[in-house]
Amino acid sequence: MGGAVIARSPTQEALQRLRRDRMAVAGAMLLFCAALVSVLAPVLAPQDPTQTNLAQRLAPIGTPGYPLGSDELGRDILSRLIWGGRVSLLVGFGAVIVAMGFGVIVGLMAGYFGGWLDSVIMRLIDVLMAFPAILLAIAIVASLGPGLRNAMLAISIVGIPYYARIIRGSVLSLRELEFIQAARIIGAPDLRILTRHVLPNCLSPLIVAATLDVGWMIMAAAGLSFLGLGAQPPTAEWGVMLSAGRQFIRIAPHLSVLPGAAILLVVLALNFLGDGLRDALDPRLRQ
Amino acid sequence: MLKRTCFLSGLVVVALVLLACAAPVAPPAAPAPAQPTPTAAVSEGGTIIVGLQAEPTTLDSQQISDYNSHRAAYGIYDHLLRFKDESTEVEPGLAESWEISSDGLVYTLHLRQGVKFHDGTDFNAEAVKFNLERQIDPNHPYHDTGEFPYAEFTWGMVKQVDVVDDYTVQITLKERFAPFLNHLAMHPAAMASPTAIQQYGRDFSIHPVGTGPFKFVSWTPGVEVVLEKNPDYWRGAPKIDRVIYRPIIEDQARLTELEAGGVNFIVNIPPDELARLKQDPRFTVVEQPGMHTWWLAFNHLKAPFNDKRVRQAMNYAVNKQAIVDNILKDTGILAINPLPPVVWSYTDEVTRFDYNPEKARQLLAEAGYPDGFSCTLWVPESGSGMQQPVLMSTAIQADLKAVGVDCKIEIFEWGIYLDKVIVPPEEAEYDLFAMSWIGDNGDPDNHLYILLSGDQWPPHGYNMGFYKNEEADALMREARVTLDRAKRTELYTKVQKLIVDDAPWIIIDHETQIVVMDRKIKGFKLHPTGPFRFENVWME
Repeated sequence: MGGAVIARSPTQEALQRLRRDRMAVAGAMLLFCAALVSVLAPVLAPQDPTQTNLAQRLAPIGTPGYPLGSDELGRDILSRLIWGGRVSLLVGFGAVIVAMGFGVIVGLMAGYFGGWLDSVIMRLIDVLMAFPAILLAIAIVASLGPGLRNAMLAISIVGIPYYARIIRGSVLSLRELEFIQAARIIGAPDLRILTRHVLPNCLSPLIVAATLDVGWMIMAAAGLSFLGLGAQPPTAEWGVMLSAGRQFIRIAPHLSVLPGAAILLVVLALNFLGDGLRDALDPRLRQ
Repeated sequence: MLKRTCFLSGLVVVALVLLACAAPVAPPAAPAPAQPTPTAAVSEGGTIIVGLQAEPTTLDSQQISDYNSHRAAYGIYDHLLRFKDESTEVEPGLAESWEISSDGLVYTLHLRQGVKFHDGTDFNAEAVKFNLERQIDPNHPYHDTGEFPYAEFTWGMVKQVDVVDDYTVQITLKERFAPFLNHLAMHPAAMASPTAIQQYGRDFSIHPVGTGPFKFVSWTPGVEVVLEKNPDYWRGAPKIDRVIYRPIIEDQARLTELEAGGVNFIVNIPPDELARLKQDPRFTVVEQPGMHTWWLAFNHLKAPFNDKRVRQAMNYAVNKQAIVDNILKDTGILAINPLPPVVWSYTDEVTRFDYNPEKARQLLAEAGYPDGFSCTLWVPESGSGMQQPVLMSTAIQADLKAVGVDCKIEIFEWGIYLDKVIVPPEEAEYDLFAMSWIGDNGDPDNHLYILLSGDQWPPHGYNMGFYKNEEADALMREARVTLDRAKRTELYTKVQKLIVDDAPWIIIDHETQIVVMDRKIKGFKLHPTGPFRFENVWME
């Protein structure tokens, strides 16, 4: 029987490699669970996350009616963690999408067209990068006013250079390759070349970068909320919960430990998955 | 008027007093090497290290407008009069006695003789004139040696200061002013050495020289202010050797430092830790009702807050008792009146707004808001006298939401916050905001007039919600120029009834002053105006 040669696409190959990476699989599963819980928050949360009960403040884990205890205003911590996850994941992914959107557009233009446009765009990007990321985010929120949406916008802006540089680097090497030259010679318009030929070939580094970046964004958003610049009361958000709980760390450590652990787990899962994706997509590892 | 900082500090201030309260307690005559008195082990020596909430801004008492500076500077000075221990009644200070002319305009002060400043300068009538005119006369050669944020509030009614002889001073007022004696015990009435002011100029605030029980040693910004005992103090030398003030901003960090032994005296205890500390044999907890009030003010110039029914409804909607019992625990008492119960003329015969969400909904419906409305609630992230602003406001937000009033909380840093809420009516952007006040001098005028009179809208005073009640305003004006306490009490009682019924604020609590200190520190008493009197304190 002739051995049938099954041709596998690069994507299938990458997926297979990813499936063999146990850490990445664990990360993906954890993320899937977190996403599921967030989506189902209205159904899963036992209580309204803003329902206060001053007579039941700082209840310990396992109190009847409060499986994970209650916070400084007697709100159910489990419900707040569930709803807070929704906010944190939304902000994390939302900020990455916004940053990636802008970063990809300017990175493509800078890399593909080169010349003065490249110089102008990359100098602006350098300006953004000259500031420590979180400091720049704080400055942006300070000028826009505190709030979750502004915090998300701020960390998005801060994230743009990361994507712009990744894309520009890939484009610079791609645009000299034969298939791009060929497309240009047969007269394909720039937009078509960029979207059909250049962008798809930059996707793997982009996916890896974005996965790792969601974790950073979640932490940055939680950090801004911790400083009082992000989510405002009574919104449940992990950074806010951590910050508010700090005041009660001696008598009710679960107030800050639980949201802290939630941030840790999600960010860790994203990092495992990101590392796994990088290994799976890295062409140098291909046999 | 109290400057902004005052809010917090407002409290402070007044300290008036010279530190030295101690006079009546006979101090051990000689610095005898540990010769314990028979009754109690009153020993010499020791250092008290105070964990303060924030860094002092100046040690020149006449320039102070915040609580922490007041506390750190207090021991360096004596004041013309002083508040009695644990009271805001005045008693002699550097002025041994005084007379008031029959028209209430001329105050003659007879000064104590033989008192010297720490730098050896004599204290006399010229020194008093120098100290007062430095603050109030823009042409005084040393007026530009500082900013005097409390000068207008404390001395605005003074027409002139005359030296009668070496130890007699006459202060003439422009109009009668009932609380004037109390002003003579406030922090701007601290007497500083004229020689030192001439020598250091603007740097006097970091080289303070007074006549008080403690002498200034050093100030390392951000680290500590060190004072040592004045062995020649005219009321008798203090028993402890040194007092050190360290700013430790975070409440938890301050508490940790106390338990680790880095400091042995702290302020602003987190309410949830208080019960544990009271049980701890290493510490003593000292408490005293404060001249403090915490409230949410309505912007009376904006609808719907210009409708009394809406304001009353929102008062009924908030479960104040639950906030006091569960969040503040033993660090505050329920307030039903803008005036704290420790201030004379206080009455509890006022309209009560006990928790009643049904009544709140009904009043809102009557006012035309059966489905409630939305508004913003401004809150500082922290601030002197603000207790737990975000936590308390979030609890209030939840209560208001239950009756349909949907408040969006906006949180600001304290300095920015004060700039945004202490503004003239045309610049006011707020709906509802959290504020607190600590009395400076124990007079009802210092709470009711300055905070709720129609004459005191910013920039003139601190009626930041722009409340106005003509009838109450007239009564308060009359009380300011009436010297008879019984008559004034009657006027202020009427004022309180009128104001509370109008519900200009949602009043939450009066904070209790609390310090926790090492059990070895003995003889310490809190003062309602805030500063610490260490001159009679000893350490076992």
